[in-house]
Amino acid sequence: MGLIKAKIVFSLFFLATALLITGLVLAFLGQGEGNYGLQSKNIERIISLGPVITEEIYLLQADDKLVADTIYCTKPEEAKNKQKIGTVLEIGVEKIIMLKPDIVFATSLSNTKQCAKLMQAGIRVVTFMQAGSFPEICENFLILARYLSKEDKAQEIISNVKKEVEYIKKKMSTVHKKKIFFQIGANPLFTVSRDSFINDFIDFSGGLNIAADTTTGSYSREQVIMGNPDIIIIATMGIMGQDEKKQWQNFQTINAVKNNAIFFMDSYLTCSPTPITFITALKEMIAFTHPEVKIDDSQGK
Amino acid sequence: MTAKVNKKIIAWIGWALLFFGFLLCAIIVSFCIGSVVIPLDKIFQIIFNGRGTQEYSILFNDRLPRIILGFGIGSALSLAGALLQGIFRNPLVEPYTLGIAGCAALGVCFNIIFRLHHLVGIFTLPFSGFSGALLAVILIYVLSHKKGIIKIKNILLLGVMISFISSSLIMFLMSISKTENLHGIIFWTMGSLGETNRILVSLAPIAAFLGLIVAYIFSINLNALSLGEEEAFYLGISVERTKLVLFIVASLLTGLSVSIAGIIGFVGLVVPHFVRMIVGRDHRVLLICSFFGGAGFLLICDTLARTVISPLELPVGAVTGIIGGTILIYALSKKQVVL
Amino acid sequence: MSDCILEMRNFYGGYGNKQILSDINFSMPKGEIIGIIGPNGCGKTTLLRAVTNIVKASRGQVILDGNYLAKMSNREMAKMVAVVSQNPQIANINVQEFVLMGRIPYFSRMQFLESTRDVEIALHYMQLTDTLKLKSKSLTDMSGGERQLAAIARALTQEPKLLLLDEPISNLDITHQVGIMDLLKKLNKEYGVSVITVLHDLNMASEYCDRLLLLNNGRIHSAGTPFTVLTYSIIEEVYKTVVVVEKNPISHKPYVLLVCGRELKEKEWQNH
Repeated sequence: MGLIKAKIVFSLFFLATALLITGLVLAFLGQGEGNYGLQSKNIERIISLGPVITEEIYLLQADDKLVADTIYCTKPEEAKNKQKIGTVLEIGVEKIIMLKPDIVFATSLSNTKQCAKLMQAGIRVVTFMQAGSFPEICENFLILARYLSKEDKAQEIISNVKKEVEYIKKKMSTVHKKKIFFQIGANPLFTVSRDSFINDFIDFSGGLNIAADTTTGSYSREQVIMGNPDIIIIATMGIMGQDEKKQWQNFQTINAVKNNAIFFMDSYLTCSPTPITFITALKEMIAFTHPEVKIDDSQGK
Repeated sequence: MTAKVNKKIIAWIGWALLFFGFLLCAIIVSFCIGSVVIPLDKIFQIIFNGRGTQEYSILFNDRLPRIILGFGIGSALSLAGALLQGIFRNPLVEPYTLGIAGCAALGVCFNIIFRLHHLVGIFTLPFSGFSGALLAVILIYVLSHKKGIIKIKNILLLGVMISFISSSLIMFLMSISKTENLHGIIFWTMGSLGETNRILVSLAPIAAFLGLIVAYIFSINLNALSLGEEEAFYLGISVERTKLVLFIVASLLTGLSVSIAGIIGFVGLVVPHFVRMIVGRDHRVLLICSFFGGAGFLLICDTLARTVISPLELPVGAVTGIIGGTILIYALSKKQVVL
Repeated sequence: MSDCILEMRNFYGGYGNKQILSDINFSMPKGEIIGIIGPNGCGKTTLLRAVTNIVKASRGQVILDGNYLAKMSNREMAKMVAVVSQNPQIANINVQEFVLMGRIPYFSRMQFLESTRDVEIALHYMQLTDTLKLKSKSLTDMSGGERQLAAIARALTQEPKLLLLDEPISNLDITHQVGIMDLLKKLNKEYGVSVITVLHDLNMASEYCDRLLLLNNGRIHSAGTPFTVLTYSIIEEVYKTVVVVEKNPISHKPYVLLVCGRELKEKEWQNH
């Protein structure tokens, strides 16, 4: 084999590589957006990418159309039996495509790139942003209901819930406001700002969020000591929650510690509420903050 | 006499073919395997007749861009690793030892936290990573350049320092950022071939290929450099120019890869090392085999990453680390390696 | 094309701000073997580096075969001058590949592979240096002497007009010492290669070199044939040690004898 032949063979390798790349790229750029899934206007097959959405679908009694959800969608119990397509943060794109959904409901935590892939495949993806207040919770619920053609049912639930909230707000407007610190994270210490619906819990239950002005949610123990809350509520974080309670009990100057007013609330309840669970959580909160106030369950129904 | 030359060239061609074949197999495997296994014969059917079916969507929307990206990034990273190992004459050098990945990550963090990509467009995310990488390159070059001579030791030290400082800054930024941003940053640093932007995806293999061509022009220089800088100079090589050009090429390739796919380590370290153990240290065969080898390796790791705990996905950087590290340890224990 | 292979005029140079060499003036006709000698740190290696443009001139010129070194490209210089370093890096490369690298200066712009002619040249010089039998051996598996021969083979493969060697025999046994110096002599007389070699061993320098350059503190102290340079007064002045200069009984070249300091003192004492 001469030198010329060797040079030719080497050049061939480069050529082959170039061709391979060109071929793949052209195939990729050449094909258009997926064109299936956009035809059907009727929504018969739904996939949920978040526990709140799943729960709300069951509330609206549209769960027969729910094809798959995340492994964290555990409420109600039946939701566990649906097919699983991943977590809240990451989904299995191929599996979703194979399930032929008419629409996919995503949350603000969903992986945007994967959602983009679904959209490129021609699947409708609707993203619900994290609700920052009780009105927003209701609005998200309503929007979801519209897609499911269950608007009437939603309006019914919302108006009931709103009536109950108004009743509670009215009742709590006269009580003495207690200072509350609501902890949702440890190491680093994290609380909720005014822009969270948890702040609405605090507000409606006759409380004052000592950390209302925080911007990032990051808070220091010293700030809490200065704020001197009457009540500390910890969204359960498993073992860490118990440790946190012990930590707080070291600071005897805090009213909440003096009065042994450190409580736990189910983090599921506080982190992903539907309109209905909002009320449940609210009532639970009032039981902590103003146990003397009796909330009549029959109100607003 | 000429038989000796022929033997060498035939061996080289054989190796190049082997690694090219490996790459082709990896591409085919990536096409066929995923949450859904699509056998090879079905694939041809789908390509020509299957428009509108889910399998078509999976192949063209999900797997094809991954393959293109995996090809581009795997080859770019291992090429960059081979170049850097040649310049520094040190087998432990990786594109990441120079702090380029660190600065790229820092750039992306800035972007996410100050929400620049909402203001200017989604393109800015990779762009900010690339700028960060470029900044690292400029910084290193300026700080280690004395009277026209690039001191290797200075660069290595600087690179390590920049790495440390970048990761500390990133941790700082993460601690003061909002939770939504945290997710974005963490996702990006875990490395993934899931990029959707068409231009970026197509850019990766083209840039890698261009890098290969430039690298080849300097392949003889790299061979000479392996004898030492002074010796290479005596052989008529323009040593400073070689180091500069290849350094820039390696940095650009790394910066681009990190910006598009996040942090995928080990490919630049393990693949050239492993290839060198098999084909020898002559850069004329080492570069092209590393190129193919890196592409194939990343594709295989990606296939594993998305099938092992399907429908969930492992970060591909974790898979490259585990598999790459294991292979390297095994190979090293079997054969004494001297660079 | 002049008949001087190397000329250095008023050369001053060093590393960075440190000036090592001062006022270097000499010219070397083609076909000579020149030995550079001098005490440690006097600038011998620096002088070699000045000829290859690693050490640049702060003042003065270096002229290679009639061309100004400063105006030559690195590649042109490599075709004219080849260097055998003092301690070449030991790389895991076999001898043939190593020697073949000497053809790099002759590769055309886009050439990546050696031509058959390149290989022939390499093998020819390997034969000359008696390293052909080692061609598949790795440099790491060889003795110092063999490695030195391989390095010389590589330098020769560059087909230079001028060969520079930096202490080529300092760490070798006498077999290899004489072997290498004989080889240089043969290259010089039969192949017309001009040679400049830095040597520690004054007697080897005397035996083999046509002319000697004695350096001291970066300057040329003496230049000339071994007879003129290797006198006991000059050596004592530069090396600051007492020597006796005799004649080699075979070649009649000057032979420098070293004396143990203690013996000398006793002798002096006896003489009083």
